[in-house]
Amino acid sequence: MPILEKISQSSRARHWTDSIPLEFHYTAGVAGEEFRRELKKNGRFLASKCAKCKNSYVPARMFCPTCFIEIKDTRTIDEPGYVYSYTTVNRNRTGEPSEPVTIALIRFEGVKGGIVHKLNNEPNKVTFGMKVVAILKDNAERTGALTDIIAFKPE
Amino acid sequence: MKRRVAVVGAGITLFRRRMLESPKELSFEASKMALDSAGLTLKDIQSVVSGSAPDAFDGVHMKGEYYLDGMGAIGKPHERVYVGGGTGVFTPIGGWWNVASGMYDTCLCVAEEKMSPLHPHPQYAFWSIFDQILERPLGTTLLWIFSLEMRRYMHKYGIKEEEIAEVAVKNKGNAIDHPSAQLGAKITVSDVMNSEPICSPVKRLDVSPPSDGAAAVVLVSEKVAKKLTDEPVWLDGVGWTLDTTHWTNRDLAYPEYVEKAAKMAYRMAGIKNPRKEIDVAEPYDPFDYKELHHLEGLQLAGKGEAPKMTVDGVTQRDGDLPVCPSGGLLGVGNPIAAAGMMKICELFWQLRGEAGKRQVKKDARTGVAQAWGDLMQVGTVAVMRS
Repeated sequence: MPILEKISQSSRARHWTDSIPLEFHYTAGVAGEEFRRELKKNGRFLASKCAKCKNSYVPARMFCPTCFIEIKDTRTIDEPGYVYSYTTVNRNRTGEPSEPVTIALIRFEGVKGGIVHKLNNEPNKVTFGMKVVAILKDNAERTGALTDIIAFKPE
Repeated sequence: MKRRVAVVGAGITLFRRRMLESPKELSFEASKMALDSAGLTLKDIQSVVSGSAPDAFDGVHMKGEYYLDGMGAIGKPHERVYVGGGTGVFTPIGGWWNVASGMYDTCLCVAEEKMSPLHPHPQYAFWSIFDQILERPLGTTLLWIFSLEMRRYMHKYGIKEEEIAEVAVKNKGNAIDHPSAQLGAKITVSDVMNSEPICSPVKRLDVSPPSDGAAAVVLVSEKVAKKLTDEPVWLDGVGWTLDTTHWTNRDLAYPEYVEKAAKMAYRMAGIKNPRKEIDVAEPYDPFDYKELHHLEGLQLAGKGEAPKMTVDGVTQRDGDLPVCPSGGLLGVGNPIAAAGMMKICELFWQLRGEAGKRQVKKDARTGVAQAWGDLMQVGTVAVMRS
């Protein structure tokens, strides 16, 4: 029974430091590329609509995971989104305390999926189902990245 | 024709924030203890199945190939299985394939995790599991989705944070009696409520810690089991399913993938009414609300009803359905894969009546263990019987 015979010797655990430096160049994918171009050019979210099950997905998808067929039809989402759930984050990615920021999962009526983003609102004023719209960077500054969206705000 | 599979030995190391032992050494400690308790030596073992979560924790690419010496796997058929946080319960499922299929009569299953090497924090590894285009640019962390999930669960069923905190109180309390435990403690609901808000509604004491550790079990065929022991514990049902990584599409209030995995395992074990037939449960509890979520997915509580069951004391060690008598991840610690395997070990000890101070009051004959993970998308379930 090692656990009963041994004690943890954490204080003796010397360590050697190293890192694994790797860099990655990602593609957005076939549908992702269309999604980001629409965001950059027209500031709108692109959804894909399956011809068979009629489900729409946002962000756009190349194939329907349920019917398992390619999706060719797309449509832009022109209606505001709504808050499905939300949180206030007090620590950053590395675990350090950070300025509180409200994050929400934004969904759109009649569309599967959603977008996770900052919510430009006091945490105690956020409600489930609240209608929200995106605040975008100016056209000239947009690159088609998620960060083209500055935040969402109440409609 | 599948064969019946028995668990005949279990082993575990200490779970600590940082252990001196290397991944190979942690694996060795757990493996040796499991073999000793089964009355076997490495020569008796025909195959080895290992489980470990991301390579990024230990900081060694191809970790499975690296740590295998510690699992006695040199020169033996060895495979590493992987479904993120679900890996701990998936590892004995992998072992079950080895034995139930008739390929081998004896299989050593070992789960290892050394999270401490990664800096600035083990949690940092997880940012790279998110979508590189759509999620990472915001600085996404796993805590975001847990808190979105917890809040949605609370909203849908009208659950209070205080009710959820009861799980942390219970599990950390249970862990006081576990010799491996990292965070056994007597705490109160108000301690949880007053702990640091990390990502509301998730607070410091709602969360399990990062840990180093390993755990192991020995699986054998029925023929071997009957020679070794009068008290085999049978691995009678296994199930696992995965949902998509598009977690934004999911019902965040209910783990459907756990339901599917549980139903698969129950069907195999011939269990028709889980709530009546399961005597003890070890659902995955990296967060207190997850124990509740998973009890519902495991069909051990109706949707939204697990909090009341907890508040009423049903899930205490002396209750009608003891849940996480080990102390769970919240109390014993969370070396990811090893934490899931710790639950399999706990059922082994509970069902043999060898859990000592942790032994549940009722005569436990059938238990279920479950783990969960990847990008909140996998359910792995094992049903065990004495």
